[in-house]
This record gives sequence, C-alpha cells and structure tokens, in this order.
Amino acid sequence: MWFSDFTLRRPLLAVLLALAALALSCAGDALAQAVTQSERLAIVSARQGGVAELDRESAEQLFLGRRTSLPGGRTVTLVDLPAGRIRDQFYLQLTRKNPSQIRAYWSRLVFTGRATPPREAANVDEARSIVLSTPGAIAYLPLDAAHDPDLVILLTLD
Amino acid sequence: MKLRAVVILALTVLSPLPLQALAGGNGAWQFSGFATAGAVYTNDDDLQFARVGIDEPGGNKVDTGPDSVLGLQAGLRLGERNTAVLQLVTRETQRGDHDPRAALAFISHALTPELTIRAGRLRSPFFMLSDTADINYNQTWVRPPVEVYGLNPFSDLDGIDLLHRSRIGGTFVEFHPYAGRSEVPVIGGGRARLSDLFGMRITVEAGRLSLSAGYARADLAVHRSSASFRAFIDALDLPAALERQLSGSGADASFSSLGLQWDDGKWIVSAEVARNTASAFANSATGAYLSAARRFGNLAPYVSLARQWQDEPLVDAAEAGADAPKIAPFNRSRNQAQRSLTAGVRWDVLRNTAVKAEFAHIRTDRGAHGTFIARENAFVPGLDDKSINLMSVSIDVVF
Repeated sequence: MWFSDFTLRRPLLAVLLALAALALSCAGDALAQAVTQSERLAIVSARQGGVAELDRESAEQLFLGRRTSLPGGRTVTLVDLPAGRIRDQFYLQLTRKNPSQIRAYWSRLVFTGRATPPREAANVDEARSIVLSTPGAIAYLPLDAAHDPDLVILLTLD
Repeated sequence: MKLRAVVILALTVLSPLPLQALAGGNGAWQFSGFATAGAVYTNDDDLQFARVGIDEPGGNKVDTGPDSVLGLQAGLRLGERNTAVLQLVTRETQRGDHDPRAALAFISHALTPELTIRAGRLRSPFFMLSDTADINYNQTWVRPPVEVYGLNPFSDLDGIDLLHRSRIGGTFVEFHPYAGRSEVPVIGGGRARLSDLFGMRITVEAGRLSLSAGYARADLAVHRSSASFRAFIDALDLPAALERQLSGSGADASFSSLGLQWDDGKWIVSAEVARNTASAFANSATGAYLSAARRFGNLAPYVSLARQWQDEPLVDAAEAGADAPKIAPFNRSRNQAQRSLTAGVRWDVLRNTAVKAEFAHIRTDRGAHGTFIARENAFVPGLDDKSINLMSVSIDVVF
C-alpha cells in the first residue's frame, strides 16, 4: 500500500485525541438542545403597507437569498431573529437546512457579495416593530406573537 | 488597463457615498468578517508545505502562513438594485509579507430579479469552492484539497461578470460568465498574469445535491525573477528558444473543472476533478479528490483521498533534446503531482467558530516536488518521490 510508511507522531496523536474528547463533551449539549420541543412559527408582514401574500416557495427563495423581490416585482426586506432556537427551527422548517448548513450557506452568499443577509432584530418585539415601520418587510415569529391586529399572517410553518 | 480603470472608477464613485448612506441609516451598511489562525507541521527536512499561489513557505517546520487569514468586508446597498462590496484580506503572501489586498471591490447592479452584472475586483470562479477559498469556516476541512486547488493560483478576477439565477422546477440554476484579467506574485520573485481571460461556471442545486462545472481560457505570462531562478538559468546556458519556455509571455492556458457536493444534514460528500493546460511557463495537470464527512452533533470527522497527475511537463523532453537532463530539475520543481490520504475532524465549538485538526499522508510522484517547496536549493536531485506527513490545526471564525 502506498501509505504503508504511515508514521503518526505521538505528540500529534495526543493533541488529536484531546480535541476529540473535548468535542464529545460538547456534542452532548447540542443533542439535548435539539430535542427540546418546537413551537409553531408564522411569517408575518404589516397589515398597512406590508406584503399582502406570500407562497411557501417564494418565502424559501427569499430566505435563501436567491431573490430579493416577490414575483410581482416588489422588493422585500427580510428580518431575522437573533441566533438561537427559533431561528434554527425556522430555517430547518422552511429550507430543510440545519443550523450548520444554513450558516455555511449564508456566509458563502455574504462573503461573495451575492446577497445581503436579513436584518437582525434583537428580539421578537423588535422584529415586530421593524415589520411595522418598514414597507415590504417580512419576519418570522412564534404563532402567539403573530396573532396581532397590526400584522398579517402570510404563512404558517409546521 | 481598462479593467484597472473600472476598479478605480468603482472606488471613486463609492467614496462620497458613506455619509449619504449613514444619513439614510436603515441598515444600508453591512459589516462582516472572517478569520483563521492555523498552523501546519511538515515532517520533512528538505521540503516544506506551501499553498501554490497563496503563501510563502515558512522558515521552520511549523508554519502559520498557509491557512491563517483575516478578512473584513463592508457591503453597501444603494437603492433597491445596486450593491457595493469591499473585502480586505490580509494573509501571508508569496512575497512573505502580510500586505492587505482587496479580495473583492465591486459594484453590482440587478438588471432584472434574475440577472445581476458586477464590475471591479471579483473572485475567479475556477473551482467549485473558489468563492469561499479564503473563508475556511465554510469548509469541512482545514483547507480545500491542494491537489485540485493548487492547479490554478489566480484567485482574483479584475473584470466583469454576470450572475443569472433561476429556478427550473425544484432546481436552482446559476449561470456565471466572466471576463477580465488576473495577477499573482511568484514565490521568490516575479509575477504571473492571465489576460484576455474568459470563462463560464454553471452551478445546479437540486435539494441536497449540487453540481458545478466550469471552463476558462486565457493568455498566460510568467515572469520569474528570483535569485535562485536567475542563478539556475545562468549556470545552464540554455538555447534562447528553450529559455523562453520557462519565463515570458504569450502562452495559451485553459482550465476546466467539474464538481459535486451532497449534503443531507448528516453526510457531506464532495468530489471534484479539474484540469489545467498551459503551452509554456507552467505544466499541464489533472487533479481530483473524493471526500466524505459525517456530522455527529457539533463534531464532523472526515476523510479525503486526493491525487494530482502531471499531463505535460513544463518543458517537453523531446523539445529539450540534449538539454533535457539540464531542464529536469526545473520540471521537477514545477510538478505538483502527488497523492494524499487525509483524516481529520471539525468541531463546531461555538455558533460561529470551528476548530479543525487533520493529518495528511502525502506521497509525491517520481519527478515531482508535489505541493512542497525546497527549504534550500530547489534544483538538486532527491527531492521527488517522497513520503511526507502533514499535521494541520486551525480555528476559524466568521462574524
């Protein structure tokens, strides 16, 4: 075999093993996080001056940075919730990409200048107020927060 | 010259805009960045690892040059259709300094929702992963396999491209034609240039599978001025016709690649084959890799097999005739043919931070230095046909 003269240096092996052990202890936390119960999410826009309708495919294309406008031509501003459970669940349900896939996917879009990332809100309340103050803005919110007289629910995700 | 003017024009047009945009507020600016701190250990007394077209070989056995990088990016939205992007990158260069360079400096204009035109400093999309070659966080590995990614060192594209993105059924298709020129320093001294560069890349994404194919052609010039090259040439006393094949301008070069990636959330499988041809100044070679990674929570162990074959040496033995033995050392030093087996692990420590460690066992071909540079005189015998172990660790962040 061409790799028969494989000579693994002991110190290097020790470093690798130490890294692996550390990483395993963290993997447990991630699994625990993944099984926490999910809640229903909805994509919303403002009742006044917002987006009137949105189909699931357009929503997916928008949140994957593949388009920035609706089929009718209207430009859409996307609002993201901060990094965390709701955001992860949203992208998984809408795009079937897990958190590490979506991070790699979006960092490629950003660092090649292909797309501008969604505007990040600090929390659900701020996402709501950005949607209300920005014409053509859409955001995803937990369903209870989406039931709001000033907002229109465009799409619910299961 | 024209393209340089385009870049300068783009920057000039942009320079008065910041105040305007800040006054407008509303998230028009986007700042982001990426960084890697990496170290590579080459287990060989005569050769040291270097990424062709990227860094200068390090002085010691542990080299932080090949992978360490810092990039800062500012993006500016100018209305609904225009964007300007500036990305400054600093990393060890082939000259051994860390001078920052603009890796991206372009303006883009959306002609239609599907079609965007961009002009300025862009990235040459020669490979499937060219786009993210500096953004190590995006790769499973410490770095993309050098057997393929070392085939073409020209990462910048000064010119124009078009991005046509459409959806056909459930499939996303991107057509990416481009034209321009590109330049890189040569290790030790000198410059290499692609001019009249034209190419096309097509990317198809269908669910978990993506395919990427590209072709490009250009005029190639390589002007070598290192002291060791001059000394080597002076000592040989070659016929002028032969000397013109080693350093000069006016060669034809072509480049093609075909790659696929499968990512189902658990398994990531990627494979790519690429080929470059050059009528002079560089050899012609084919590279390929096959890699598989499996995610376990925030851990992803991976294994890759890679190979580069030389198709044509830099100077053909038949053309060199009686001078062939004299030219052989030069041909060897410009032949990256090798095969490797790499095993490593990526650990996503934090949401935006990955730690990676990998071990590669490399066998360089007979008559090839592989992706290594001689620590001392490159033109002595015995630097080919070697078995070399490479250990790499890195921490990658995006922000």
